[in-house]
Amino acid sequence: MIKYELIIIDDDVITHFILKKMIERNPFFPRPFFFENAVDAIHFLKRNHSSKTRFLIFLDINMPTMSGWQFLSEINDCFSILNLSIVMISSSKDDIDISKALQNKYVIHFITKPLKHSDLLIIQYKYKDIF
Amino acid sequence: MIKDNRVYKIAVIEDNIGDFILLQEYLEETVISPVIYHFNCYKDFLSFSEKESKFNEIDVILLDLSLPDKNGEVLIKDVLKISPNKPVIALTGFSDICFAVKTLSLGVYDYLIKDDLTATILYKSIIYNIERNKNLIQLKESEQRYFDLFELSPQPMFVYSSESLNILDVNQAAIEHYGYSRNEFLELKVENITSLECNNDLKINSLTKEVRNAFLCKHKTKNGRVLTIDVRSNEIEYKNQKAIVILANDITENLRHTEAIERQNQILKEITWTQSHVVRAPLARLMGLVEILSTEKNSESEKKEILGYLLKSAQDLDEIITDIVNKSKFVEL
Repeated sequence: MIKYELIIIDDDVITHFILKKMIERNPFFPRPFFFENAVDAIHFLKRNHSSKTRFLIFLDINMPTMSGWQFLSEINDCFSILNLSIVMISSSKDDIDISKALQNKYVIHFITKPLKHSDLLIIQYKYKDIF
Repeated sequence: MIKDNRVYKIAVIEDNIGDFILLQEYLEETVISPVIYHFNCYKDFLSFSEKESKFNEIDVILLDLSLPDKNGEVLIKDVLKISPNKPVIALTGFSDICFAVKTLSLGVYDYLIKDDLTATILYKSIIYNIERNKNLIQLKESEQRYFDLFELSPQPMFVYSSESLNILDVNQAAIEHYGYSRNEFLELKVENITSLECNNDLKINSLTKEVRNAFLCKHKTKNGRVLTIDVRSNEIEYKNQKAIVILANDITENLRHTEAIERQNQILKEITWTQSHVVRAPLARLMGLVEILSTEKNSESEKKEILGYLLKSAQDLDEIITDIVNKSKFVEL
């Protein structure tokens, strides 16, 4: 039996609240684990990963201790793309950020805040396509 | 015998009246109408050259080497000095033949031994030296033109030896731009004006014998100012040695200008980044919260929580905007 886990990495707790409320309304998504710090999230991933666990991560770009970009390079090649999919979330509408994010093999989607219900539906379909 | 019908204006500087008459006869034998200006001494010739505009029309000067007021080497030097670009033919006796030969090295065009003189020899010497002089003048003018191209070039130019790297010649613009006098320059090697701040790549290019035609280099002026120079070079032959001529285009100011523009560009990019990331963060939160407030079913305590977040986000946004306003005030100062 494959286990699905949703992880949210964002330094801002208000964003945690917003995402929690949004995700609650969509039964496709499991109850998320929240991290304010990308380093903690990496520890969590390493502790909990197995061939039967598939992680979907909502990853903020701009964070103080470890940025979303640093997180991506830290986990690079540690996980199979079958076990790990990432949705980048940023306040910016910077084209350079978007194209940089989409070049990463784990990244399946890029969202500009605020997150909308339609974004969750798109992620749901993209995520289904992979499996 | 056919006489030459061109008009020759001939100055004869001869104190011996017998010799003068003989010369006059010889000239009239071969030339239809020679115009002869006769001077008995150096002083007469000098004052003629200073006062008479006819002096400029003289085609050739016949000069006796022993005059009452001046003779020998001094005489020759002074006559040549007051009549540049005119052929001077020395007249001398047998006894002076050794000296006569030496006069050629002093710049006299030709010498004639009075005792051997005939009309034909005199005529031939006169027309030969007049023609030769025309060619010499043309050559000098052409040399001058090319020298001016170097010397008066508005951009600094150097010539240096390919082997010793000694500077061999510089132009006026180089002297003005680098602050060294011509003599100081000629004591220097290329590496003395090449700045030590020069990165190795650049330095190797400017010092190896295998010279590329164009490269950037750092040069140092006498007072230590470092210039960025766009160097164009070529190999030339200079006074019988292999040399390099370089044209030094000072692009220091242009670079400074470009760097200033690039810095401003960087500041603009930073402002754009701030707009995109920092300003938008609390705004996106506000939008997200309003969305939840309007579409989700929320308990009373959640509503309270959301309102608190809304206020917090609005305050964050206000803080960021105040910060930007303060920063732009700083930029204006």
